[in-house]
Amino acid sequence: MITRTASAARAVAVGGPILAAEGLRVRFGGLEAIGGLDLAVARGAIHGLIGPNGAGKTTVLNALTGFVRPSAGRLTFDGVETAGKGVAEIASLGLARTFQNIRLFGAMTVLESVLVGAHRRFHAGPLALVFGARKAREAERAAIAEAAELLDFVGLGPEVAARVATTLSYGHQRRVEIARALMSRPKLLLLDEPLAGMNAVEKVEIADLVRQVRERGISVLLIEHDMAVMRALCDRLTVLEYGKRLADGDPEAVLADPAVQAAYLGRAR
Amino acid sequence: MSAAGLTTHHTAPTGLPVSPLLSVRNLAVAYGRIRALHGIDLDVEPGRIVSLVGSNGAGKSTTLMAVSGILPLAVGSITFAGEDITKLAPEARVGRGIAHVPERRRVFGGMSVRENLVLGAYSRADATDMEADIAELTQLFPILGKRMSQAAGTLSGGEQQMLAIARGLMSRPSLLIMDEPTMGLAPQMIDLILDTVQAIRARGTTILLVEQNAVEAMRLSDHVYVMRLGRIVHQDSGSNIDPDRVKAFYMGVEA
Amino acid sequence: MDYFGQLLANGLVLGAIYALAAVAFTLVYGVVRLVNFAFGELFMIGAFLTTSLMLDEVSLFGTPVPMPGLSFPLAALLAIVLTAGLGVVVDRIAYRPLRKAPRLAPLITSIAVSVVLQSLAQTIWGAEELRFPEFSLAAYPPVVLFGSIYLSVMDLVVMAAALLAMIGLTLFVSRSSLGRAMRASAEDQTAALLVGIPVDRVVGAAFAIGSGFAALAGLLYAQTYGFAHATMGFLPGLKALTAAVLGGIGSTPGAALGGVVLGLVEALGSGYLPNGSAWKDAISFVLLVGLLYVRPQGLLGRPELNSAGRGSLLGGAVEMQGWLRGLFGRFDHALEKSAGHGGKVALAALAAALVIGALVPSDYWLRILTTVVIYGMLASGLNVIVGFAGLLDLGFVAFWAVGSYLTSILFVLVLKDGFGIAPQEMWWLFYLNLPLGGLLAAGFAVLLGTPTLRLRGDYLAIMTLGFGEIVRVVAINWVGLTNGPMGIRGIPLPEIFGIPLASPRVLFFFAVALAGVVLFLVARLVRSYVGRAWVAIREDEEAAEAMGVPTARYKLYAYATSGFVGGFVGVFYAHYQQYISPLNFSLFENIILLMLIVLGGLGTFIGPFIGAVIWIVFLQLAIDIPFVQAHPETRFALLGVILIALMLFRPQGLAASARVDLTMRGARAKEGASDEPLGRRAQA
Repeated sequence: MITRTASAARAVAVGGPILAAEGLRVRFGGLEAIGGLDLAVARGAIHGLIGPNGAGKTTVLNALTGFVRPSAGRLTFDGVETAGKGVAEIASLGLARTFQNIRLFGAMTVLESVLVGAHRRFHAGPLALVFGARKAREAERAAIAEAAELLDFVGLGPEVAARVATTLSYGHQRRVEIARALMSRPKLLLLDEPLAGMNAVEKVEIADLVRQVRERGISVLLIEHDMAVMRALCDRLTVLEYGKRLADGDPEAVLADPAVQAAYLGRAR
Repeated sequence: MSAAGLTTHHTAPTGLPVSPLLSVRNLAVAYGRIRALHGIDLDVEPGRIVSLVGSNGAGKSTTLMAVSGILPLAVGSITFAGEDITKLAPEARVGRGIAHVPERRRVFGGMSVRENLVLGAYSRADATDMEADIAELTQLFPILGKRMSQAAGTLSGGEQQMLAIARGLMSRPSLLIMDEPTMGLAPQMIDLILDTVQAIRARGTTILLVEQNAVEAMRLSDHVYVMRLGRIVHQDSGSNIDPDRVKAFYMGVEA
Repeated sequence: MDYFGQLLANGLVLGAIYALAAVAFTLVYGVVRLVNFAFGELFMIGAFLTTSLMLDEVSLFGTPVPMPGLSFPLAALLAIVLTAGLGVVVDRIAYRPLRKAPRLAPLITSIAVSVVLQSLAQTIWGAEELRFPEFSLAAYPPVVLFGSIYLSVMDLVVMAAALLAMIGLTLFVSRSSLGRAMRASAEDQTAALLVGIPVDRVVGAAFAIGSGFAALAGLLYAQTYGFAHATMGFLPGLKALTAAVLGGIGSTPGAALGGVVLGLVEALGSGYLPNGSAWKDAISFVLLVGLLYVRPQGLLGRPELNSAGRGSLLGGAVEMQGWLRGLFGRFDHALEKSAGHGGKVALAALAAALVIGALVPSDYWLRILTTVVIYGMLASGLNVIVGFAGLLDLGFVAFWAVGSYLTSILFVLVLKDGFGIAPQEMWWLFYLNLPLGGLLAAGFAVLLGTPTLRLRGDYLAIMTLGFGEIVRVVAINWVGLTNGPMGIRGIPLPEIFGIPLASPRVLFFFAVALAGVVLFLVARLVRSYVGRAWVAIREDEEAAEAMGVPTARYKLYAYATSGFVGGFVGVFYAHYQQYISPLNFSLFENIILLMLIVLGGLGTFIGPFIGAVIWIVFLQLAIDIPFVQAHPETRFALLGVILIALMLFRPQGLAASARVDLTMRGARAKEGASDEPLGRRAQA
């Protein structure tokens, strides 16, 4: 087991973790999917969550974002208790996510999809909308400008904005999904297997993008199976096995841990 | 011979090298616009255990689902026992002798253990031998014998796995496909299932296996294919394969 | 006790019939997760076939045809077999290609199949009742139980037949190989395929058995009430669906239990409640709505059945072939080109409407065109909730009714009858009523929408349908408020300063102006963050929620907007027609409106109007064809067939590519005209 003292101290130095789970438990019927997990994502960090198939990584993500109600444990995001809050409510605290199988809105253009991410910043009432009040127009214009900037940031040209999102290539769809999440101006971005289905070039590009997201001051928690990328990208890794934390700490050390290797490759009988 | 019910022997034409029971060529599968497999070639020779290993998302399960016909092929061909089955419906493939024990077991939870077993023989016309087969399978899995009238959904994970395997064997397959048979099981149960895999092969049934425990899969198998990102990146016989090389594929270090 | 006992006995007979038909819904739902609305029509066809086969001569297509005059059991058996075959054919043609499509597609298709079958039955057997022949068993004296409860021999036959059929089905499902395969397919289709079960054939078998049960229920019903009629399946079909949902759809014992409970509740309710027999339909639907609210999975069902089909309601279409594809390709291209000029297109459409209004010489055609505009507006209102927010609402007519009744009650029952004030003196009230009716209906919509928020897909459709029916039954029976089935007469035409707008041409222009208001309102909301939230909910509710969209609230906004439009148009409708009755606001109207949107294009602005133009102009033109003149209902059959074809090949509708832009007009920088650079600002 790798100790977490060094990084934990660093996290405390910048004002405590942005996201923390203490004793998180999730039950599905009689089955305990997550059995008492502690997890702390430091501010400004790229934190990786790895583990073999069925270890419960996506369940953790779903619990953090409110899709699944934890059966026990404390969840705090940016100092706010989030366990039991609704998905939209947690999202509006500054927690944005992407999905394992990209989930863009089918009939929408790229621009419109991204704009949905800014939903919480629109406040115009029905009359203001119907009569096209100046304030409502300005809010819309500002959001569109911001969306354009974000599309540029994730590496998509302006010509993509008017395309229906689901007609884009897989790699571009992933970028749109990230732009949509960033549009909510999150403090923490959760990425569920952002590299799945990408070719080698795309992987490098997306990994670069994740770094740039962090440079904007947004913390990142990501699930990913490509260990080479995780090794290079993450400040810290948490390994999950059977819904419990197996290891936590510096990526090199964690990946060299025989217990972690055994979790992936299996143990000889 | 009482065991004949569940075993099928494949003998190659005399004088020729053994021809593969299952042969997959240039297999590609797409989920919508997303390609999950890019030109898989693999052969499974009769009487062998062949494994696919590789980390999550490598395309192992997708390959198995394509072989049993659940997923449509974008490109490629599948030959089984000398017959091109590429366009055959899944249920027809069961009739030809392919049984697939799916990931996460997928037993019919609301039905009894016996009903699950009887359903396993759905593709068979000869209902008369069914009782004998069930009796034989309860020798292989004694615990199932004690649970015959219990609802499958109430069994433990390991018991459900045994039931799923037994259900697959009820169709008297010549090829048994097993997807992650030990996933989520306790260590003792894992041992038991892996022993069972060998026992089934010993009866002459060919096995195509996807197993999370790569170390054991390599030890158990006659031939191992290593998959990564929808491709076969390495293959060798079970005794020759280099565990460190496989480990490198898993842990992201280039060996 | 005697009275109670008699009611109990009646309830059991009715319950037995409901239970049989409920089994049809439940069997098919269990295997393919489809609420096949058409079972009500298969019920009716079973009744017609049995009746026809027992007679010596039946008039088909208006000409007498000799019939075999079979005995009741033989005719019944033959009818069951034929109906079962029909059910399989329907599944093969209309449902199987949509197995992987989003849930809404087969649901809408099944409604279309219903319309087709009902219209065809009316064409074949006529619009009159076909009397169920007398036969020997029915002549026996009734059996008397406990000295005072009378049951006819046929009542006993009904109960015995239902009981036997239930036992037979239970044995079949639990013991036979096919029954086992059916249960296996219901649990896990992939696993069923993997053990070698031909799932498609098993589904076909479920349709055959379900249709057979529906036919049995229908023929017993026809026997009990003594007639067969083309619309006889409608209400029992809804009741059977209610029974299936009550018991927990998917569960066969649940369906039996639900049927019996519903039969008893109806019988006892109509016996004991004041004016109960008039309210008995409402009782069933209140039970349905209440139960769905408290326990969506029904009495014996499992909760996971109330699951959402993620993804758009569209798509999953079979690829279109040949010249049709080319034709649509050109059409789409033209639409796409025009989509970039939304404002100009709207102006052009308005100008076209004005020119047409000015040039059409006949008052007859002007009235038809006004109807087109009214239906287009109503369909636009329904389109908000179905097309944009993706929630299948079968209770929309209720909102329409609220607006119509509000203004009618105020003008006729309160002002004229109550205070003796002539409408001319208060002509301005009409203009006040337009928004007022809209707001009242919007409030009503929120009230109806709130309990449906937890429901998804099929259950949502069923619950809204229940609400719509409750409103209709209330409108019929609350005579003091609504004048009941007689309706309200003498509603004044819209007036300006006491001058009635009596000319059809002026009324047409008035309707066009209102349509402009409706479209403007809807377009402004849709083309903003509100519309984006709606479409996001339609496409992927969970992803929308994860982006911070409070989906429950935005669903209510969609209900409210839809309700507002319904109420608003309803006010005008009442004054235009000058007469309203509950018949105007039937579920059938709702279905027609739904079909108009699907025809034109769900989630587009022009789709509802395209649908309305095509449908209503066709209705008028086709009536000149001699065959149609004799059988006017064949037009509805054709509409149903077109709808089925559309769902199979082009579920987005004709004007699919009139895609709606979801950003606010003018907020987007135009090429060349951009005075502020895109981006960079937000970084600051």
